[in-house]
Amino acid sequence: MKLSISNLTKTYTNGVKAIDNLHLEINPGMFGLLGPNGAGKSTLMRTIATLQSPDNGEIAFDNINVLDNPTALRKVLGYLPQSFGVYPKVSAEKLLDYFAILKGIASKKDRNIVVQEVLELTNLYDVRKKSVSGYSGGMKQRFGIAQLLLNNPKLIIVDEPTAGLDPAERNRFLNVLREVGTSNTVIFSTHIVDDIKELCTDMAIMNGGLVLKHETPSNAIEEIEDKIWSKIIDSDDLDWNEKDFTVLSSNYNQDNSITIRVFSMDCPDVTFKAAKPNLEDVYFIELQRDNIK
Amino acid sequence: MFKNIFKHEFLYWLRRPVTYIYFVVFFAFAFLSFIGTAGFFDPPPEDTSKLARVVNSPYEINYMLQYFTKVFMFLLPAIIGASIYKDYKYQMHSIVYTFPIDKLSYLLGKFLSAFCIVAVISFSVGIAFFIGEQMPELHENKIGALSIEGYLQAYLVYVLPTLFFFGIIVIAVVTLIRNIYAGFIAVIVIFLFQLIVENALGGTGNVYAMSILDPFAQNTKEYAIQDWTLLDKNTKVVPVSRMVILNRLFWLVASILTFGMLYRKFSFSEHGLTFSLKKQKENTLGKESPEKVSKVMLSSVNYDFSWKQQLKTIWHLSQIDLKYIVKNWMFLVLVFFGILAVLFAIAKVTNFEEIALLPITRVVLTIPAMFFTMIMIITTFLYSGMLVHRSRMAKMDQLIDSTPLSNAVFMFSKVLALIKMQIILLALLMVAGIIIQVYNGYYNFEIGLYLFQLYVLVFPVLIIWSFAAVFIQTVFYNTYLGLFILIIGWIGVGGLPEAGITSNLVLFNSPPKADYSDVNGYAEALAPYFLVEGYWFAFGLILLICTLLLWIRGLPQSFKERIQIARSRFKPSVIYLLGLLLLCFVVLGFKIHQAEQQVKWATVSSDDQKNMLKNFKKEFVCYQEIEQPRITSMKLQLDIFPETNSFDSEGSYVLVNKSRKTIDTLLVKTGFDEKTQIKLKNFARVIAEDTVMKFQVLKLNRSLCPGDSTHLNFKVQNAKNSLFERNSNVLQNGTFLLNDLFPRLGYSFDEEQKHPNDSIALMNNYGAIDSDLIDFEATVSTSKDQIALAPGYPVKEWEENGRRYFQYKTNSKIKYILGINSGRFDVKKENHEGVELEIYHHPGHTYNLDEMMGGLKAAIDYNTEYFSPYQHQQARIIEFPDSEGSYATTMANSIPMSEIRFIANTNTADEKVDLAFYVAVHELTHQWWGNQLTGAAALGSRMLSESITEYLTLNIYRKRYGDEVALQFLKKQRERYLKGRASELEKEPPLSLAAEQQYIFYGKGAMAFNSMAHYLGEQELNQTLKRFLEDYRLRAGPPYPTSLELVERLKLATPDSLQYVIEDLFETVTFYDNKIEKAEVELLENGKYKLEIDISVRKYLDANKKVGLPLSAYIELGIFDASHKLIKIESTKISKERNRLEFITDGEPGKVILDPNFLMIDKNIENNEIEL
Repeated sequence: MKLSISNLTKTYTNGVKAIDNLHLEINPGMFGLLGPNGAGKSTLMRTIATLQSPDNGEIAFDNINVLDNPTALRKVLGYLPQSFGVYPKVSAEKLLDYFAILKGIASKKDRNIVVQEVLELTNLYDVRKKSVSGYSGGMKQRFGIAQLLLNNPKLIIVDEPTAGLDPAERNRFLNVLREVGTSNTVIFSTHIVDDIKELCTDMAIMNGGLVLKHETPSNAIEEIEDKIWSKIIDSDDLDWNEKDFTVLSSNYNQDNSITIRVFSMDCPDVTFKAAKPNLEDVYFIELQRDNIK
Repeated sequence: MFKNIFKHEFLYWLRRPVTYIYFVVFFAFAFLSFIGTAGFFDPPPEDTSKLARVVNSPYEINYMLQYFTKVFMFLLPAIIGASIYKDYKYQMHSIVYTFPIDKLSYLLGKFLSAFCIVAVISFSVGIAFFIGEQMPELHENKIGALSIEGYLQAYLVYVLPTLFFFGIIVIAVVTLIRNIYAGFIAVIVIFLFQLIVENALGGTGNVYAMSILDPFAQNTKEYAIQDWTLLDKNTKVVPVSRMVILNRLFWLVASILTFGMLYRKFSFSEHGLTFSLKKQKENTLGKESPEKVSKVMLSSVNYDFSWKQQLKTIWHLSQIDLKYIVKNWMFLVLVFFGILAVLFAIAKVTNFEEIALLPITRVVLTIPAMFFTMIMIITTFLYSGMLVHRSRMAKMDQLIDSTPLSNAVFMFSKVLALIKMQIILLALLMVAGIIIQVYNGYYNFEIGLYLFQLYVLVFPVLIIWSFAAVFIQTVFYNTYLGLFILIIGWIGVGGLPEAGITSNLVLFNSPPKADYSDVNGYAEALAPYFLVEGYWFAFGLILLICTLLLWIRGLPQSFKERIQIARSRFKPSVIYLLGLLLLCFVVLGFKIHQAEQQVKWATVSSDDQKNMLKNFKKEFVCYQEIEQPRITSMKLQLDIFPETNSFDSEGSYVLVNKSRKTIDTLLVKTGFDEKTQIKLKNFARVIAEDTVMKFQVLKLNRSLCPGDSTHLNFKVQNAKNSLFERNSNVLQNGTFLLNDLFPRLGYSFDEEQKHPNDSIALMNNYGAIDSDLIDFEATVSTSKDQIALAPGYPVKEWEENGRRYFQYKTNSKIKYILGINSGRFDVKKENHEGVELEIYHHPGHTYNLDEMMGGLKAAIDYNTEYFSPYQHQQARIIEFPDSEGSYATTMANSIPMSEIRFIANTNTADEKVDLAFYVAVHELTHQWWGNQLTGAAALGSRMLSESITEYLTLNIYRKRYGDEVALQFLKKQRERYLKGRASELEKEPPLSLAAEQQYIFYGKGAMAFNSMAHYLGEQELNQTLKRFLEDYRLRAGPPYPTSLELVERLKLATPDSLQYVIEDLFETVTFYDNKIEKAEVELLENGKYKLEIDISVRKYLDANKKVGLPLSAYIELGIFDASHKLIKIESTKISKERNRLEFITDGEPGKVILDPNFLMIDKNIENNEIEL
């Protein structure tokens, strides 16, 4: 149940190289794909989901050659795109039944059972008769999960599902996803570091079509133990601090002062205090390294 | 703000390639069709002095632009509708609507900018015509002077206003419903509305309402110029009549009101208007409590991707797609208007047309079904786009495309949904037909015929179109472009035959016509029909395979990438299937090609045919004057084989030299399509021969001295039939053979008829140059279940070798105009005054038999009373199928009559002509006027047969149905004349010199003799006719009578004061322009009423309309009371243009009509009556 990607390249007609000779191996469990907007995450996920064809490269999942035999992958695939619409004025129940047909569930009885299960699982059962086009953002995303579960997928791809959700909805959504991810391979892209922290057993940071880092979140944090320093500065001093130090992040405080976090092997100077590293630091370190290159 | 929006939108469309595609396609289409009709691709015409349709006349420019406007209509949703719709589509509206834009600027800016783009695209056609006019090598006679006025008028009065009005309506529909397809539906509904208006109000309906309501002002304009002759159309600028202005104002107001409504209802909100029968429930969903998520343990169910299951899934998905189509109110609106249009079209055929027909199934299935088919095709185009692009439009494509279902399942489910939609529409058409039948009290529903015509013949055409539509919509990412290309392609295919491309191999999905006749079914049309449809079906399947290869799955970046993907899908299984289909396609194509090679005449263009005739004439015209012997007797043995559509015959003529010269050369013309062998007793050699025109010049061994006779024997057989061409008129049932099969003598290629003053003209009778009257004897055999009929009386009937034989012989001489029939007939027989009356008819066609019998009897009675006895002992009406013509004619003692007259609706006799009675009277009257008296082969001869017959028919009609109905009949004749002369290509001759212009010798002829009878008295006129008849009755040789002679006799019988009537009606083309200017009533002291009327009367020659002729005419004035009952008719002699007339009446006058009996010919009779 391993997904392995090798030599994958995709250049768009407008010249943008979205994926650049990418290699990646993903094991069962929750896999987080972290990267800024335009990093190539969506292209990668759409390519794995058989919706786009790459210029080059190989993708294999559990003995399936994805590019040669997309149908075989689609049978075990659950995909939730970054944004999607639905046929207007159709209820969740009917739409799920429709998707169940598309996913090969032949008997009406079976479809009813599965549709009810995914509705309950995603907590949409009470609103199953309402049309999906009238759903709130979070409900719609959960509907997205419901539809992808219908074929009991082994590979689940969710593209930035938490974008635009309020905290409660986001929690609810992540809970559902966590449950789903226990026994399958779930690839989950986001630019919100906390999503990964809460959920993922493995992760990769991506930018410019390349994988910058592939590591488990805990290992990644461990690597920078004792190398993160923070201090509170006046907002006017940000410029020279950024010049002198590797500033990873700067956050305003209530009194208009700024807390900066700096990456350094040793304590840069006495004004800095040692800080507990977090995943966000890992992310910014990788992006800065990439920018320097 | 308005300026910014306008500019932004206008530039947006200018940047889009599709704008230019529309422009270029329209330009090319218009340019090619223009120079095509102007003769660019044809050889130069022979005779440029002949009047032809001038293609750049203001009328034609207008006409063609009107035609293109209908196609422009589809740009309204595609551009004007899209300009607003794209804000929803890209969800720009949630952003745009928060900007500080006022509604009016937004709506007007969007609308006007897009309208300007549509207008600019519409100019492509005008520019194409304009450039087309300047092209070299156009036929001189088809190009007139450039008329900028014509272009301006067409655009300013018709094209642009129409697009403006309906642009507003379309933008309103699209904006309020937020669905671009609703815009397309609106356009189709507008077309249907025109059809409904035309059929419901046109003809005898409320022309005024029709003129105002016609969305394109097309009928309005045509009505205003209905009397225009070709010369008028070629030269005059179409007047912008009051009705046209009213029409434009009406639609202007309607569109402004629509815009007002749009302005009021439109709000910058997230959601559009929804139409729902159920009250919308509150849509906010209740709050949720964050629940603990249960464990994900889905029940294990079966996932089935087997072949069988895939097929089931196709069915299942097609049901879902079908519901999506059918359960939408747009579809319901479309169907509602479609059915309404069909109902009115059927109602028109069965009530308002010149021949009102019974709503028998085959009638319902012709014209109404034809344009409902057009609606179905457009609907297929529209919904194919909606289905193919549905998931993308809803942005659900990524979810759907990542499911494991194969492309084939998706594609076939959509095709199947379209096909199911077509099945439903066809069923609705059938139901509409049955409803109309019930409504008309007709209960013989031929369900089998409905099903066969709709589901076996029409349905395949629709299916193939659905294949093509799905293909085009898949290839083109842009739905509107796809729709546009489909419509252009559809119209283009329809226009190819006019461009000379007629091969079934090229004319996409256009099977040969398969007309149904109750008598003969579909005849032999089915085999070629299915062959051609099979060929295109194979092609359609190939298109589907291509569709599958190009099917959009996921998010391909470019067409190049789609081609790459297609290549990767090109697997062996696909190759085999494609190979197999290609094989079918090629094999069927080869078969069609082979069959087409056997077609002799259809493949020869009319120009080539003209050239052949020209060359022939050049060589053979020298034989024109050679004296020929005359056929005096004919013996015939004819075997008809209905099963194989063939015949075999053998016969002989007795030829007599009736001239004063010795004859040594024989000119023989044999049948075009037949194989003929000629045996002549003293034949020597062939001097000259043309094998194409089948003309031989034979030298005789021994000359034929005056008075001598000889025999000519012949064998005639039909040429072999081929798939696309039947070379004989033998049908499986209802065969009707004419004498053109048999050899004829003399040079008969002289098209121009001679002037009646020409003494040579008097030597031949009209219709035959090689015979006067002949004796005739025939033995005809046919299949066992059929009856064969030939001129003469039955002598013997027997069966032999499983075939039936009939022997006929005449006992008085007949004209050499023969008809031989064979069919499965029922016979109705009666005896009237010693004459056997028989009607041989198709079983079931019994609707009008009594009227026909009545007609025969009335004709015998009237003509015997006034003229002379009937010359035969028998009169037989014989039905022949519609495919052989819609006419009736008189041949010896038979009256062959088209099927259509047996199914005429005679229940409408109160206002229409009772066709069955009328035709029977007319044809039998020809036994006196046509057969007892036969005119010379000269101009005006048809006045002696048709005009007199039509006049007598009117008298008989009046006797039977009364004055009111007879007046309706006369009114029809007047219309026939005025409408007919509108399409006259040459200078209109007077009645006494009419050639083959039916509108003159029927329409004007009936009026002329009727007026004479009115002035002289029926008795007096008939006396004159009787004496004329007696002088020429059953004359077996020249000289034959002419129209001029009858005119002279009429003059002798007419007092001086009325001589002008003969001059006006018979000798010149004269019109009166009569008008009631003013009328006043005054109640006198004695209780009577004094009526004062100002009338103006103008008389002019058609050739010189401007000069009024001196007047000395009697004009009638009918005075009616308030309930339109006649009080009295007064005749007054008028000698000046303006006149004041005074009458005293007892009753109170309510209405006056000038010339109520149509004694004068006045082009405009609308101003001849006045209500008081």
